[in-house]
Amino acid sequence: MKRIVSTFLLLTILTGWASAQSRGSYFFENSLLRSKLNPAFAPKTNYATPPILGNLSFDAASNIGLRNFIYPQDENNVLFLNDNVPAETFLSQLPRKDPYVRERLESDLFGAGMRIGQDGYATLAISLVEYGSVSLSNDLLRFLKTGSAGTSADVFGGGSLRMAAYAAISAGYSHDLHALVEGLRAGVRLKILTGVAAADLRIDQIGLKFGEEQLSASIRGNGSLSGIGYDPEGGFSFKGISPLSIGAAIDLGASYQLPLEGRVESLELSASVCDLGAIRYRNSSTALGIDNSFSFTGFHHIIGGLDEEIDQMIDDIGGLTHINISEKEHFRYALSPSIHIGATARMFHDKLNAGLLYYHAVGSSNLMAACGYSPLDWINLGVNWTFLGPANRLGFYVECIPVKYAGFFFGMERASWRRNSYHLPVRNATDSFSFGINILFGK
Amino acid sequence: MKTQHPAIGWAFLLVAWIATSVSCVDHKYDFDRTDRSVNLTGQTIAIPLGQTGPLTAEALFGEKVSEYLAPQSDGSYALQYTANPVNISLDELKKIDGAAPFARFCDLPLNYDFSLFSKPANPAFDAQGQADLTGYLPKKIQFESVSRSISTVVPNIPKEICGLKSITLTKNSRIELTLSIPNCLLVDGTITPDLRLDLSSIFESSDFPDGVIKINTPLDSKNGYSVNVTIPVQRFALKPDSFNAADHSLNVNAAFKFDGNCTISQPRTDRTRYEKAPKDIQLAVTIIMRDIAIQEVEGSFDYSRTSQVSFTLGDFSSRLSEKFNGDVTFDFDDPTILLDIVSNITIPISAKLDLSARQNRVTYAQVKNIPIELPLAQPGASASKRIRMSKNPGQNPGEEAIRADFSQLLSRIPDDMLISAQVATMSNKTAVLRLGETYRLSLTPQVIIPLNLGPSTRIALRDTLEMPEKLGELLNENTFQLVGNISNRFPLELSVSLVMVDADGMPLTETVSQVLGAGTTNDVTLTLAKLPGADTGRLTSAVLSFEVKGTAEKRPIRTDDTIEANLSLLVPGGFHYTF
Repeated sequence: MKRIVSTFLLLTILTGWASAQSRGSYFFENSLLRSKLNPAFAPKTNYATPPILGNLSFDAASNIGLRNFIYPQDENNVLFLNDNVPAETFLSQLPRKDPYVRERLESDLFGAGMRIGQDGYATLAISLVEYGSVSLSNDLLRFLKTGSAGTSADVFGGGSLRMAAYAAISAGYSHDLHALVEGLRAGVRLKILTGVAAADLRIDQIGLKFGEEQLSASIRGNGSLSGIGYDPEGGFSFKGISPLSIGAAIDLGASYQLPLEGRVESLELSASVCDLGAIRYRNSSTALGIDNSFSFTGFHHIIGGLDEEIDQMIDDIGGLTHINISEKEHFRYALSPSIHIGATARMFHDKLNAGLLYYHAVGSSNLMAACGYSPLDWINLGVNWTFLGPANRLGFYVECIPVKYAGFFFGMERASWRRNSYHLPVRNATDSFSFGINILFGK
Repeated sequence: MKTQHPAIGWAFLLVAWIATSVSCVDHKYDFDRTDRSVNLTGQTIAIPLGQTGPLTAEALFGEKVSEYLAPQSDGSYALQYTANPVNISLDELKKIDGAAPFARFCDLPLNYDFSLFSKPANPAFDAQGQADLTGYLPKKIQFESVSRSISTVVPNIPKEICGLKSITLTKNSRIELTLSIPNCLLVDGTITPDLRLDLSSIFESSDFPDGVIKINTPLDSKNGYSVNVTIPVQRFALKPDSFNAADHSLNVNAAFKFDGNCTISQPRTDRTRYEKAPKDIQLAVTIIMRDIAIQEVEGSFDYSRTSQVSFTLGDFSSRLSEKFNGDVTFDFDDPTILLDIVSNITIPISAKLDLSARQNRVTYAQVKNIPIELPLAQPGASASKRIRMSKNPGQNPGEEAIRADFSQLLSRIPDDMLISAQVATMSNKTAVLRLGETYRLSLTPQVIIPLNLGPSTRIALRDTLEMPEKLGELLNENTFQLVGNISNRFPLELSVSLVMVDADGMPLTETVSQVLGAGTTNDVTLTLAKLPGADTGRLTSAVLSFEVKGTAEKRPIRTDDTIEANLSLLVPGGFHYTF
């Protein structure tokens, strides 16, 4: 149990570093890698990406931050379970939904894009993707703080931990369909996925009851692991990569340039859905099951034999965390798809743009408003404000994209600009970050 | 305008860089400032501690004692211990072996020669050289009676036999009788005897109840005119005066009588046999008694001896001495010793028992001359008996009650006990003794000491309980309360106390105590608070103590004397913990 909790906490902390893939690039027509958000988009130049540096993006969504669990008091601070934090204060700051932290990390080992004829643009990439999510039950936190889960039976959900790591070989193609409809462009990207490791763990139910007549506890849950071993003594361990875990996914997108007259010269409407697919993990798959209960009604040998009863009680409590381990042939892991629907108005010969983007990513729906400025043809500068979603957040985007040689981009969004010394967000751990340096082959 | 564009770009870049790298560091949320004490649940936690059923004296005295605590049929408790059986072998009885004294008698063969007929002078031989002797020999020959007397003394009859009634022989005891016609004239034809041997004066046999052996096995050329006959004998017939108790000897005076006749049919001879045959043809009879050994003797016996055996009380002694000689005192009023006896002795034996109790190999009390009768076994079998010995033994089915006062003997728990048994036969009765049998007496004592409460009763029990790790850390932050009620149905005022200690026995908490009134239900509220300055991280165990004062009236501890606890552990404000 301790290891499970440690793993939860570790992942929670790690994901606190996350900041989401900057979607500021979505509104710039010449942005190099915005095709990752919508395969219909095509940059103006050919490119190749060096390993890791070419594209590194991190995306996190959460409905909690440090302030939910740490409360400053004078020179020090206290944890939410401390006596000095009134239960009402803690409960009033709990989100309505169960607390969660979700994150997605993607990095390209290799990538390239080039024009195909007059209307086509092809991309090829080999990427490493890691997705993780942790959630805890509000009831569990409420119980720890107040001794009552707020449910009549003192039975509540525990939480879940999901993680998947995979490599993706993707090939995309975008085509200008002006022959059909002037301004229409469509794209598709196919992905072959190789699973590295995955975990899907859930504590479905926790029961706790303190009473003068009976102390009882129960825990029920299950999980699947692939590429990750579990040993009750040694905990979790990485088992190595196997080519047996295979999956596929598809990204679809379309955009439409509506020419306008007046200050607003054009309106770009676009939509995409990415990561529609799943992986069948076959690599050392393991099924985990936990269904244990403990009940204590009192010692029956208070005089003589109490030692044995205490030992038995400790053993029984230890038995609560007993995990049944069995081999499993495979388990299917569905990717978390993302959706982008955007509208971008361009003005002043494309030097200025304003846009609105709805996107659903890492399990959350968001609405972003953005404006961009391109002082030169090869510089994109943007600011954005996401006002619907797990948290309001401010972001910016910077991209230098000359015709040839090298370019870079850097973008981020943050919900909480206040951080502690460990760079963990105080208000809300919803962040995104993207960065890349690429080699350009334009003319 | 064009020149301003890069400037705006660089300004934007600068703002972006500052925003990402600097943000706003709020040290109020730094972990190194975090007070790591937490309080789980925030409200008073109640945990059941003792929802126990009735705790009897067995639980009160602990496992070491309760193993020996046995409820009695009258509802009282007694300490009870069954010792391992001890054996007494009566080798003197085994030494009564009748085979040797009778060997001389058995070596004595009896021979009888009867004249059959004389060889005919000139029988008519045919062309093949053979002669039919039918006309020459008598068809039936009548013998004269022949008597023979035996008179001998079998000395050294064992002195334990003081009166002899009968002697039963072994299964192999037999008489072998040989009839033969040496140098028989006949080469063909049959000589059929009809003989009578009267041995009734010395042997009894189921094969010849009247004591007369009848022999009529034919002699012919097929058996070479010689036959052997075996006659089993079961008992040795004694005349009233044959046993001399004064010098332990057996006088054997017997007379044998032999008579009968022979019938001859189809007698034939040849020239060669005729020429070799003697003039007088005789029937020779030889009688030999084989394996005439005694298996059982029936008579009266005069036997006595003294044997001493000891039985240890093992764990019973060591475990109870620790409790009942120090922390606990009771009145051991009417101790009982149950004696289970198993014996294969077939002669009635009375015994007197002396019981001695010892501690450190020194006898501190004795009870002498307890008369008992050993169980009487049938030959080849065992018999058992249970004897209940106490001041007021009562009558229990299947038990023999004997009055004996063991109050001094069992005023404390002895290390071991000696049993001296003086055994003796009752010589005026007749019994059967199987010779060569290993006669053994097995004694299994059972000590029963009733437990009585009284003015001198004192119980001071102290139990050290190992506590789980981390409990000390919880105690450092929490105050535990034991609440509930304890129903004390003992006629005793019971004082309970609890204190948490470290490995050196140093108290870490205040000692909390509660006096439970006799025969009442008592509300309990005990608050376990840390002593000022105590390091509860060193907590290793809890010490639980019970003290009992005596009762005015003496009475046994009964099985319905119980303590029933209904206790809960309250942790006010929930669990405090610092990690």
